Amino acid sequence: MIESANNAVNLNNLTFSWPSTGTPLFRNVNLSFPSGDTVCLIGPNGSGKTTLMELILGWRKSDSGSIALEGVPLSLIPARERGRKMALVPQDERPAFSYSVLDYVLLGRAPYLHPLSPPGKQDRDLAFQVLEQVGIASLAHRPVPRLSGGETRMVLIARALVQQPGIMLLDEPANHLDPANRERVMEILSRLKSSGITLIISSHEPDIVTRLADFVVLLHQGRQPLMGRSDDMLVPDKLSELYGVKVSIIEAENRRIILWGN
Amino acid sequence: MNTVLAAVLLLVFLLSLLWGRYPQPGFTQISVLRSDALAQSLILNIRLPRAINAVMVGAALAAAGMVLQTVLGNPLVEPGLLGVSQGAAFGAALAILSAGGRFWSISVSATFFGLAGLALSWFLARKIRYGGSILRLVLAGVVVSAFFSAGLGILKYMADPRSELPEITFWLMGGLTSSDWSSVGRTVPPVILTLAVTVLVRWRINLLALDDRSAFALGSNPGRERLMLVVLSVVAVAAVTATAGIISWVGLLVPHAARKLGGADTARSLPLAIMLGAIFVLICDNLARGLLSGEIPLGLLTSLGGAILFALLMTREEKPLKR
Repeated sequence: MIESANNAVNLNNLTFSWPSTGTPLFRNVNLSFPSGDTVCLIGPNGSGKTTLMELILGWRKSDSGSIALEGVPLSLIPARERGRKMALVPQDERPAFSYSVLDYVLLGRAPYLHPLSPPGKQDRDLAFQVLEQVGIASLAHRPVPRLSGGETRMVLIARALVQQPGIMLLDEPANHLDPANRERVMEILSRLKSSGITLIISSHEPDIVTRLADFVVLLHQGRQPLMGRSDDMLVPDKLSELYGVKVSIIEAENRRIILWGN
Repeated sequence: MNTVLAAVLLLVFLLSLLWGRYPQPGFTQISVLRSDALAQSLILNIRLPRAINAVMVGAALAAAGMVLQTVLGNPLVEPGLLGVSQGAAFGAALAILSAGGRFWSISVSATFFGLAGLALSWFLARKIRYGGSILRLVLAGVVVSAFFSAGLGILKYMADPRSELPEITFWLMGGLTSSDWSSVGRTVPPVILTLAVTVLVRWRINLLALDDRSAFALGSNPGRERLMLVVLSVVAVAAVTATAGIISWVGLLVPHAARKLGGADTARSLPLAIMLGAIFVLICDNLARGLLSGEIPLGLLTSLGGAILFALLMTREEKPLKR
């Protein structure tokens, strides 16, 4: 595969096995995620969605093969610069201490700050701007551990946004949320998408996040991941093979609705 | 808040110089000071070095508690929980028995075994196949602490009950009775040096309160940064333990109080913890030396005061975490 700077992320011949058991998860995987597009990683529980994200993040090391961000090998990118290029939105995070939302979001400025200097006024202004953007400015001084699941998700998205990344990895961003919060997250993500950020989203529920997807990667345990345009991938036979249940798809109000089972 | 606490610390420090049992119990009058050469010498050569050591002990223990709690993501951690204090205590007792108890041998031995305690905990934590990384470290700390306590028990059993045992026992209860300018000279440099580095990186310590993957995504190297901060803390704790013996509860209580005042952000709460720790130990030490005609072990007072204050603090707090 050609190392292309047009791609936000390139995986070249990536092989990964679980360190403790040696069970292979990915073998010679080649994938390219174009810059500015939204890619959804879809697959059942345990198919390696989170692990693939952690490999892209650099948190896990592959056995062989390489990963490149915008054409530059990940292993050559210094940690701080990596923190400016790429941000992670974890599924959940509960700090052990009562950080205020503002202080917590400001941690996202770490890649831009000298190790000895705390965030300044500019960082604070940016944080407030981002809190406005995701609609939680009113929570700025509330302690994070007391927020609801939906509010916490917004805080984690805000923290990633103050990193001003070109690539955002989101682990199950709509998981465990009520419909109203899910729609809020989806709306924020679709705004991010139109602002040109490369979004890499994992989900075990293809119904929700794939509304945003330009590309879909089907992760099938023990097989090569399959990547394609979302229209070509979100079809009944591929999904039913992936999840092992009968799938039919209906279209209503310009949306695909996936019906699971009989 | 910082200026208020700094002013309180300065005030308590100055009052400590006047507080004592000479010429009579209570505060030495300024008029007495002008004429009484003994009072002047007492303040300059006994109360002043002792107050400086008290400030160092409080500051170092509070800062170490704050750092260890934050980087291990556990608000109940203190130096005593990671094998550091028990290791240092064992090392000191060993020095008292084998090297005659000179300060240098005690401090070197206490530092060495304090670090050994931490290293053992760290190493054992990697081998434990149960729980997350934090739980493993705490479990390993419990095991290592118990190991050193047992060793300490054996040393106490072997010690000469007339000369060595009282020395070991007093040391274990903690106190600043033997403070003089030379002990200040040995305590201040390591404490100031480690505190300075910790205070300089105080905001970045926050990143380690996140889980490691999130800290990594923010451009941190959580393993290396955590190790650096933990070693700095242990060096400071070992230095003050060699001077003052085991002073418990400061490292647990003070960081909680500082977080109440300044919030969880270590950029704000670490300086507060350092000053609060200094004030708390200074006041306890003043009570230790001035309350009764005999000396009360400082460690007993910090435990007593610390336990009561901590109980008040914890029962009044709405605890948001369930870990």
